[in-house]
Amino acid sequence: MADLVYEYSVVVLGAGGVGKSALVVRYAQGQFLSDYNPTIEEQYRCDVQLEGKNCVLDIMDTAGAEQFTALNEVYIKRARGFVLVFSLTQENTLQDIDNIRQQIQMIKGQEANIPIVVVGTKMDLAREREVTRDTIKELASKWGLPFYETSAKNNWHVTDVFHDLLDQMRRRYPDEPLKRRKQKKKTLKGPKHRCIIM
Amino acid sequence: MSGPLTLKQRLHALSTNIANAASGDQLNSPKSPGPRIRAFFSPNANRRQPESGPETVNSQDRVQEVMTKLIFQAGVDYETRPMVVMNASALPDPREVNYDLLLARILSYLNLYVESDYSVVFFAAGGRHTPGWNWVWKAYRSLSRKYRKNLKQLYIIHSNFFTKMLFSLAGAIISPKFFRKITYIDTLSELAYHVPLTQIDIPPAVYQENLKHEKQINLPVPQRANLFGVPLDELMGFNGEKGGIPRVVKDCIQFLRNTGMQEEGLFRRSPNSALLKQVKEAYDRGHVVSLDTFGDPHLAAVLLKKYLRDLPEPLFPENTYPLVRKCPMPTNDPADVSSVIYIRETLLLELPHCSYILLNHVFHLLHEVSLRSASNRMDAHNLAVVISPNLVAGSNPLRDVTLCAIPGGPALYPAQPPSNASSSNPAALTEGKTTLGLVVKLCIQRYYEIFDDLPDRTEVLSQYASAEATVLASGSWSSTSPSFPSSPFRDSHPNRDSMHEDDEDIDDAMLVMPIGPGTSGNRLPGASAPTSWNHITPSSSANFGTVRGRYKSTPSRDAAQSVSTSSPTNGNAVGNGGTSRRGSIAIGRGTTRKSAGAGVTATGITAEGFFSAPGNAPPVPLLPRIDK
Repeated sequence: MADLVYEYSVVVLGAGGVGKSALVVRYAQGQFLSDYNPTIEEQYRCDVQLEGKNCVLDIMDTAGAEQFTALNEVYIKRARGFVLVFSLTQENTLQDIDNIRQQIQMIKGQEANIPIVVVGTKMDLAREREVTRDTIKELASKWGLPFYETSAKNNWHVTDVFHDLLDQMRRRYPDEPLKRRKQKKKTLKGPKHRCIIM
Repeated sequence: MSGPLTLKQRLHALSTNIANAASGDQLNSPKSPGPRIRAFFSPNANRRQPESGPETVNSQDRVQEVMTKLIFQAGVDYETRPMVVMNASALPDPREVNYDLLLARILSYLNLYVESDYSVVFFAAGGRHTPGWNWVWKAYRSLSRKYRKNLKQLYIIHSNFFTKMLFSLAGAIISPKFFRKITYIDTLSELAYHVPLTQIDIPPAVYQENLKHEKQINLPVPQRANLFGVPLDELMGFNGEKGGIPRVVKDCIQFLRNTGMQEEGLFRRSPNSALLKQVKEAYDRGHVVSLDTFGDPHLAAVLLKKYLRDLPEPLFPENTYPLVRKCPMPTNDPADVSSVIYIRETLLLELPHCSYILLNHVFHLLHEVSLRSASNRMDAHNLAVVISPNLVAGSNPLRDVTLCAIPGGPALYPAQPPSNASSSNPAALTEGKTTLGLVVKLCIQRYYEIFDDLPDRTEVLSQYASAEATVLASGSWSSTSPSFPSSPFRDSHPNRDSMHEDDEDIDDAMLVMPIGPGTSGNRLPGASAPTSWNHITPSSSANFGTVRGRYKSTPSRDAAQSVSTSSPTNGNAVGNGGTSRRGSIAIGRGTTRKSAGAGVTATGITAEGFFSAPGNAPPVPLLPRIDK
């Protein structure tokens, strides 16, 4: 433990109801969020040990793409890593991902190697699945991004997602040990703060 | 709008009859004429021919259903010839529908037009099913001269190489003259040069196909009936005097009422975003759009949200934020009306009246959606979360997020039991912390207390009359069983206004109170006598003594019946004592927000005459004469 803490801000984006919160809560809290409640905005902080270094993942869980479109830009500017979530059971949620992906590239400009992970959720609902593995392979090579198929319910590949992202961010921003910034400058969440520290 | 639609319906009814009569012959001997346009379906799928498919009533219905999407008239073209649209993307699965029957129907439909000049717009692409060669051949052979003679133009849109080749070949061999009538068109923009495009209710598959050819549909003369992003008072008039809510809002609400109320995650989940854009642009072009053909409740819900979001001035502009914050903290106690009164009499009065009208309609829908949260999982809390962001667009998006938060909502974590979450002590939360999210949630929960009945002259006003009559006939309003004969009515009224869920009919049942006429006029929101607020739970119809008892005795406002009582009462009171109007046209009240005044009678009569006319006078001979 040291003064050096690597902090990375991550934002989770995707269409409404695809399971962004479930994914994040599964990772940050280790449980499955079975409630059916849309998110406005939630922030989670997770301490992770990576290669002997202390890292903090500051994960911003957002409303579905349909809500605060104006806010996406703010999120994107602020974050370093992106988790783009779509539902394997809803093919059209891939379109939203594509839109967001292009928006990220536009906002981040010429920056190469923006840390992005694309996540398909609800893998356990095999019978309702609409997005085939072939589609995913095709998009993965087309976009040049890593894809994961996950199930927050069964905890399949959830940690892989965030560790892959953390890995990408570590490579992309190697020399920037940050002090813990004051997080409280934004009072986004109303009276109830739901930060989780693992 | 309703003109061509009804015409269409009449034509369908007619074609059904003809087909019923003729189908027997045609199945046996393909002497009957057939439209050659059918001849160019790609042959690659030699599907099984349902030649011997059993002809059940079921398949009849199915054929009818297919027909409405497969072939329809879209007004007249620039030369005032009837424009018949055929849509290959609606071709059904040959296993489900008897194609011979279909052919018969198509021919009999065309028979309505072929006696005089007509033109055909054919959307060739987007079909998932192709008929077999046999069928194509049969259709081709049965093409007689009368179908060709008066066909003046055949536009084939999104054709591929094969269809072009097939057509050229056939045209060259059979009739070079006919060949000259064919125009191949690649994009909808191009089509717009030839025909009045906005009259055509373009099927979703065609929009999607068109996206492969062009990014945007441009009309030759940009005739923009802009809807999205136009100031609300421009569309509605500051006080709503221009007649009703914007078209897209009305369509969305109506479509959702009819089909989407049970859909899981309504207003939360996203539709196909490419189609969403197409629909939005279609509305902006002033295009005919029927959301039914898209058939996706999420599309309608998000379209509605998008409309609200795109308003140049959001429904809750920044200057209302302080007012929102000052609202007394809503509680779960039905007897607690302080926040209800505040929203009703202070906050909402701050808004332009057109905003109020729009909100009234939207919240009415949302309230009904929330009543079905058992199936759609969207309770008032969830709806508030997904709706509120669309009602604000301040300079600082982060501030908007704060404003939309809903503290005390269902707990995200098991650590906090949901039960105590929403009933958390309001005293602990200090004054001035109320968020728009909370206000919206309350508006959804207690819609009938917060919003008034609205006069709206733009919709058919017949529901009250019928409900009224039924109620009076069936006994007193206070009878404990609110079960109304809803389903029989619904089944017998396939048109849009009358299709409503049970709750709606329950509402109707509760509308009517034994009240003398002339108690109040059309009131503006918040104009009710303030004194009444003190001792009854908030009802917008505070003038009626009978109502009070009812309210007192039902403290629980969760049930649909109790919530729904108040505002519609007005309608009846205003609508005077003429309670015995006929209830023949519709029951249920999709169009509730109106006062059933003298307008009811007038409109009802109009509607009745309109609908009944076809019965007396068969419309068939009228049609070919249209252009001559």
